[in-house]
Formats: sequence, structure tokens, C-alpha cells
Amino acid sequence: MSSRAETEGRSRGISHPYVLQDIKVGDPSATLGMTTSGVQIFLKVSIILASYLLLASPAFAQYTVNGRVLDADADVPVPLVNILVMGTTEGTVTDDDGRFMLPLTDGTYTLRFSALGFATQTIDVTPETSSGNTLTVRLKPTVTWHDEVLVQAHAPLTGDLAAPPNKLNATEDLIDRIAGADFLQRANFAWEPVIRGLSAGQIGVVIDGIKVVGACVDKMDPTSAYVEVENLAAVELTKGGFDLQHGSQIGGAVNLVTEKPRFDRPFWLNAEAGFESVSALRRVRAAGGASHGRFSVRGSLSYKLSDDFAPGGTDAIAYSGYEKNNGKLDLAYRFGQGHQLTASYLADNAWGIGYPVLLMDATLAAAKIYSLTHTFEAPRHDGHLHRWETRIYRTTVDHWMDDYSRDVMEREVMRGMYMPMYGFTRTSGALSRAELHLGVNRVTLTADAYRTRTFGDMWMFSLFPNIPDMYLLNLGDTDVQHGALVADWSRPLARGLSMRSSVRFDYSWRDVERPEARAILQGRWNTDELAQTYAFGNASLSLDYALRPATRLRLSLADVGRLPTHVENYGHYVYNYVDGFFYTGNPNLKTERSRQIELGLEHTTARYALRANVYVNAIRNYIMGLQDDGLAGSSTYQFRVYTNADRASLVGGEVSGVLNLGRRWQAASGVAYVRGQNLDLDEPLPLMPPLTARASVRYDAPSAWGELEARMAMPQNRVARIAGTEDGTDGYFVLNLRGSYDLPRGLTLKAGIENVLDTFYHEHLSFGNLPSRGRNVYAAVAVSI
Amino acid sequence: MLAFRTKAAAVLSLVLLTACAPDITETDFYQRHPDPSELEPPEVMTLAETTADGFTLTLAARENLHAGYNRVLVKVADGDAVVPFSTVQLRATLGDRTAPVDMASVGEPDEDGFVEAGVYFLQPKGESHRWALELAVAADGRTVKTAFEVTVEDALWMQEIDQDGPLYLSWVQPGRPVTGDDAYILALHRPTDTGFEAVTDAALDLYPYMDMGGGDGHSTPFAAPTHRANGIYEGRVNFIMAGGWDMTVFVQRGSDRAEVLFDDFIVY
Repeated sequence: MSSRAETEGRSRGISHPYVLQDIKVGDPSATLGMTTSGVQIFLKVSIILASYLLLASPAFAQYTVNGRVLDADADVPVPLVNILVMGTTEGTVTDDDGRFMLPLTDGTYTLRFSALGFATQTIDVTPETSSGNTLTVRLKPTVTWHDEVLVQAHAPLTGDLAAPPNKLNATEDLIDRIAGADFLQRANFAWEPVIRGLSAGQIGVVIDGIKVVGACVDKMDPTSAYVEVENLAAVELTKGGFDLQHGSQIGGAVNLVTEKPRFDRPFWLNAEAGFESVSALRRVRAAGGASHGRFSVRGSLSYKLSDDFAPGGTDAIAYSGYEKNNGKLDLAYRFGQGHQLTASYLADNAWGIGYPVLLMDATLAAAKIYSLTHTFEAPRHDGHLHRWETRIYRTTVDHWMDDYSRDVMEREVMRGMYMPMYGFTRTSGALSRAELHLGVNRVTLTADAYRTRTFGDMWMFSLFPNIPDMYLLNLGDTDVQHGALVADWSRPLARGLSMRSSVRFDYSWRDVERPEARAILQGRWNTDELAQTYAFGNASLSLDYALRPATRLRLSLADVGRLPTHVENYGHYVYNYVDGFFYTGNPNLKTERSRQIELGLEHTTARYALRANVYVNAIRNYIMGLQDDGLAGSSTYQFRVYTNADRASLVGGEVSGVLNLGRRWQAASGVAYVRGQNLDLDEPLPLMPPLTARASVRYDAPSAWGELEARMAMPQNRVARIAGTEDGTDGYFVLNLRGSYDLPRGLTLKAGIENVLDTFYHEHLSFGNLPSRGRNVYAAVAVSI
Repeated sequence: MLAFRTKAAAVLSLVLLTACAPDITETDFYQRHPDPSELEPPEVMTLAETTADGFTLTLAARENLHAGYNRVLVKVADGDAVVPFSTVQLRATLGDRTAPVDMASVGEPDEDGFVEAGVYFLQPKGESHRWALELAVAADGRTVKTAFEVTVEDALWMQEIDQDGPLYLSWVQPGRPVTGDDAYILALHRPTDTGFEAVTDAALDLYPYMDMGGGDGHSTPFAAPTHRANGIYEGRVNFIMAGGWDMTVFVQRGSDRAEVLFDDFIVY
């Protein structure tokens, strides 16, 4: 993640490639009276080299890197930026004018620029071969529109609690550190993101903007499982329904930005091997690339093998292991002026995935993502069109589950039968996004279209001789065709005041095609017409006001909607492991709508940074499950049907802060709380996380990094009893200790202890009160070439 | 360029070699996970065939004839050519009693030239019986007649009730239950000296139930049948799962309430 001197002025999170002409590094020629004559240069350099060889050996040439750090958005100097020479103990700090001087000898160095309120950036410099005398670095402020968090996977985000560990173990580690972001935990694998208490169809989770629809009707294959750490460049996470570019959603958006081929290095290779004690997890991963002229290729692979994991103070839980591999290949070709074609392929396969609180395990979960992307970057950024990216894609997800390894005669529910399940999704789509600069106006236009076909079924093979085989069609070939147009516009309004507005229009048509499935739903809803069309608009507006240079206030408003999922429309007897009910879809569901208001405060100084948000969501047509009256007389099993509640509400807030305790020490903390209420049923919304908090102390030196972190959660006794069958959850307190150390020759050691006290606890959002992992001692060694 | 190609090929090979899914086609999952599309309707089987006046008259069914309501298939052919016919008459007798027949539903021939007719083989429970069938078909200006005997097996599709004498409750539709919403039709008859008469004054209710073993089970949406005509009662059932089902029918006539069980039939 080095060699990225410039990041976009926007918050998209993908850095521009290294632009050589923007990097000006002072070199000793300035002091040598260099002339413009090539012969003279040759002679003088020869003399100098000879002199060095004869007289100065073994000393190295000494250079001075001069530079200036600017705010990428405001184009003003940034003082007190920490500049560290990676792999050494050298470094410096910018002055009040953002300027710095750094003495360096021969070689290539990676400089890391970090400052409160800005995204950390790393840059490769080679002092002796670069010309000019000023290095200009533009840091991207982390104070962004709405409550957006841009977390780069391999670069700590100084000034935010979400700063990741220097080396991640899993993608979840990154998202989990963001205040207001949680996970639905179903097993030791593939957690599903939750933003401010909302999940599934209420939030948008995409990979490079690509819609990936899970194939498991029980949602055991969340999209976030498909991007492994070695492929993760950044996470763009927006809380609330303000970012309309990543799908119709009311709760937030997560865009997992993957790594792409690099053109700045002819060949590179990173590899890592690690071990985690809590589940005897063995993992290896590697990523490498090569470039030549206009071509570049990048590939990665990883493999994990996990045994059963052990909660705090107890033995390992049976059926909680898994095995997984992941591979990604990207081929890029540059042509013309600023054009690039990138063909990408991502494959993720997981098998033998144990779900200890479920009745069955995943035999195989296989996802494939194919995409072809054309990117145009205006070479000088002097026209109206700055960037235009168009992507076509195809995703396939297949998911098999069964319970052949379980003792089915011993369980209480579905006793004496095997229940293999299968599901698939096939999605094809196109996404085009253009970024325009029209004077002070910044406009992003997005066109998004996709089609998804899904299928899901389950057989039941009874071991009782008098019970015939049973077959359940959960999803009988649903077809969803969706299109959206999005416009995003931002501009300054007055001194210190700026605005951003987004509008989005969604059109979605869906139907169910398999005759058996149609017949069931037609009978349930007493209609022959199951096709449904949704067309609706969304809008958001944010105002950002700089009360003082260090203090900004933000007001965000939104009126947005989200589509029912295909399961909510057409699912049939889909078992919900959260409440133990079988759910039937409702083709007549309305879009779930939310009116939101959010107030934010950000105060950033060189010493500390503080961020606080409060928000209120008024939800209409909240989609939930209620008792299915169409199944009168059912006894053993409980059935629900999706329906709209008239009103629900979400109220909450997050506060996070970071305090510099010196040049290398930093303290960070954050608190998040959300309160959801179903106003129709006068009970809490289900699956609301309790008040959670984090606090950490970090040590960050050029070659060493460490963190002591405390995570805690209050008890959650506000639970849904009517629309859910939740129970209360106790609070917990967990200590984590992490660190990494860079060795010569590109080696890095990483180690840590999670849940140091071996506390037994479970998250409120864990299925079936599945306990969290106990003490986990992990270690890894990584090498970069 | 060669170096780049070599490196690129190395990266490519590495990915292709490693990111492969395990083959699960040899696992229990695949071996025990049948393709639902294989559950096709049964083939037509010939019950009797006779040649008269140059025509071949075929009586067929998609399953063995059983007690209660049956759909039989009739075809007239001249060699390999199907001959359209104008009328068909069917008479089924067991001893002195003639069974009700349902000629109202005779429709257009199917692609194989068969037309369907309904016959109620109403017979005492517990054993098979030999029925006499007479078939007369008018085709191409001629009438072809044939008579033969068929064996009608006892089956769950007809149940006997004792309410001031025996009543026969026949399952009429669906003939081959499948998942999804469908009309659910029953017929109620009382034996007379020479045949059977329709019972039209009953109030019927249902309770469909799927026994999943181990004490588990569930019902499915339904609407109780009401009398339509001639002892035919029509309701609706939406079988939500394929598998083995039980259907309990409650027959109320005056103060008498009887309970009839069609147990362990298969919904496809």
C-alpha cells in the first residue's frame, strides 16, 4: 500500500496511482551546481562518483527530502503531521505551514504521513533518482459527509477509533472497529454486517459497487465473506440512509473496495502465514503482481482451516470449524489518455462450515464474481469530466447445507430427518458512474442495473420408516430486475458552509416463475398475479458548517426507501434462526421508508479529535414477521408471514475520540447506542445492539505497533417478544492485546491475544446465544518482496 | 516482456490452482438430493383393449383402479390413427349396483387421443372386487361396444362412514396432489338397492396434517368444502410441502358427526 501520493479529492476511497510529476524530491545535485549540459552532467557526476568511491567510501550520499503537506479538500497546509520513515526510527513533523525536511541516504523509502483528522497515507520515495525539490502530499480529511467512514485496510486511519490494526486477521476486524457497526454472528464464520441496528435488506453491502445476492435463504452467506484481507483495499461505510450510491437502503452502506493491479512496480509479492489458538486456525495467504508497460496483473490466494472454537473458559463447541479458500485475479490494460480496462475474477469457496446453533452445517458455499471495468481518469483533471467508470459483472453463488454429520435422532426439532438444502443466485449487472467538476460544483452521476435469479429448496429424509420423503421449495425461481439512477451534488454555499445532496430513483420488477412455487403463493395470497413493481424516489441533503477551523457541525436529512428482498416477497417456509419461525413471503409488501435527521459535531486539533452524532429515524412500512393466520391448526411448528408495520423508530448516537499522548502514543475511545421501537406493537425492534464501547491505547513507531484495547457492552434487555422471540443478554468486558514488529528484509511479525481474560460472553446479535471466542493467542509472519 | 509474461503466468497459475471448490458430487448430499424435476406424472397404462368393426377401443388409466373416484381414459383408433368420437357411454356394476359415472367432465382428447371420464367404484372396504365395465363409443358413424371385467383395489381414496347406514366418501380431486393451491373435491354417496344416490345435506370440514416423524408435524392452509351439486363438495387446500400427508374430513349431518381419515397420501 505504498506509492500512493495522491488520493482523490472525493471520498470514494480509491487512490489515484502514483503520479511521478507531482512528487518532487530534493536531491544533492542542487548543491553541486548542475548545468544543463549532458556532457557536463556526465563529467561532474563521474567525478563526484569517483570522489565518493575514492574518498568518501564507505559513507552514503546524503539527501534532503523537502516537502509540504496540504489538506486535499481545502488545499491548505496541515501542521503537525507525523512523518515516519517505515522500517527505521527516523521521522519528522510538519511545521505550521505544513512544510518538512527529512534527511535520507541512498535507497527507496516508504514515508508514512499521519495526522489527526486525516487518512494516513504512505508514499514511496527514491531521493537520488527524483528531480525537483518539493514533495507535495495531499492528505484526505476523514471529516466527511454524513457519517461516512473510509477505512483503508492496511493504513491506520489516524483520528478515528476505527483505525485498524496494522495487520488485519479478517475483514470483519476492520468493520467491527467502527462505532455503530456490529455483526450478526451465526458461527465462527461469515458474520453479517449490522449498521445502527439495521441489517440484511435494510443496508447495502456491495463489492466494488457490485451487487452480490446470497444464495442461502437463511442468510448464512453474507457478501462480506467474499473479500479476504489480502484483497481488501478499503471499506467505505456510511451510517444512515444518506449515501444513495450503493443501493436502495435505509440503514447504511458498506462498499468493500478491493485491491487492483498496480503499475508502479514491476513485480511484488506479499505472503503471510498465521495461527490462532482459539480454533487452531491455520491460514496462509499471498498476493502478488507484475506490471510491464501498459499491462499489469494482480493475483491473490488464501487458505484457512479452522477447527472448532472454544468460548471463554469452556471446551470447544462442536460443529464450529470450517475450511475456506479465496482467489482473485485482475488483469489491467491502459490505453489512450487515461483509459484503463480491468478484468477481474474472484472466487471464494468455503466448506465444512459448522453452525453449532443451527440444525445443519454448510457443505459448500461457492461464490464467483466476474467483472470487466473501463475506467477513464481525466489526465490533467482540467475538464468537466474527472472520472468515469463503467463496470459490467456477473456473480454466481451456490450454497449447500446438510445435517448428515449430526445425530438427528437426538435433537428436539425436526427429529429423525436429514434436511439437505440447496440454493443459488445468478446476478448480472452493469454500473456506470461519472464524476464531474463544474466550477465549484461536484456532481456524480450513477446508473445501476442488475438482474438476479434465485432458487432454494430443501429435502427432508426421515429416518422413521413410515414417513415419506418431504420436499420444500423455499424459492421457486424468483426473478428480480432492478434499475436505478443516482445524482450526487455537492458545492460550497458560503464561507464555511457547504452542502451535499443526493437523489435516487429506483425501479424494480420481480416475479416468481416455478409453477409449484406460484401455486403455493397464489393460494396463500388469493391472487393469480404475483409480479410486483416498485418505483420510488429517495433524497438526502447534508449541510456542513465550519463553526471554527477546528470545529464543524453537520446536519443531514434523508427521506429514503428500501426494497423488500426477494425472500421477503417470495420466500416460502424460510426458516429464521433468529426466532425459530418459518416465514412466508408477501408479494404485496410495500417499500420500507425512513425519514432521518442526523446532527454531527467534529472537533479536530493536533492534540485530539472528537466526533459525535445523534440521529432519529422515523420508519414507515417497517417489514417484519407476524403470525401467519393462513396456517390455522398448525401445532408443532410456528409460521410467520412478512408484513408491513405502519411505524417504527430508531434513535441513537455515537461518540468517538482520539487523544495524542505524545509522538508515538495515542488513546482512543468510542461509544455507540441505538434504540429501536416498533410503534405498532409497542415493543423494541428485534436485533438491536446494546450500548457498546471501546477504549484503546496504541503505540505506533516506524517499525513497531501495539494496542491494548477494551471492548464492552451493556446488558440488552430491550428485546422483541411479539415480532421476535429474543431474550436478554448480559453485558461483557473483553480485553485485547495486539502488536506487530517489522524486521529487516521485508519481514513482519504479528501477534496478539484477544479476550485476554478468557471471558465467557455472547453478543446480543449472535444467533442462538452462540458464545463468542475465548482467549485467542495468534501469531503470524509476513514477508514482502 | 518475457519476464513480465513469466511473472504474470506465475500469478495466474497460482490463483487457478488454489481457488478451486472441492468436489461434493460424491458426497451424501448429492447422492441423496434427488432432482425434483424427476418426479414426473406416472405413465398411462392400458386396462383393456378390444378390436371391433375395424376400430381398436382402449381403456386406460394412470394408476391402478381403486375404490372411490377414478379417472379412466378412452381412445378409439383405426390402426395408428386416432378416430374422433362423438359420444362415450360407460357403465360399471358390482353385483346389482351400478356405480355413478362422471361423464360431464369428458373433454377434448389429449395429445395421445385419450379422453377422460370419471367412475366411482364404491365398494365395501377391506378387499378388492371385480367390477364389470361396459363401454360404448360412437365414432365415425358407428357405435363400438365392449365389455370386460376389472379388478378394483381397496384404497384410502374412498372411506366408509356409518350414519344411518353406510355412506361412501370419495376423494375426487386433486387426483395426483401436488404442492400449491388447488381445488379439493369430495363426493358423498349413499348406497341404494340398484346404485348410489348423492348425499347433499352434509357439512364438511378438513384438517390436513403432515406428520414429519418424531412427534413433529404441521397443517397447511385450507378452506372447508361446501356442497356444489349432486353430492359433490368443493373446498381448497394449499399443500405447502411435498411429502406424506393425512387429511381428516369431518362429516356433519344433523347431530351426527363422523370423522374420516385419508392417511398417508403423497403430495408431489
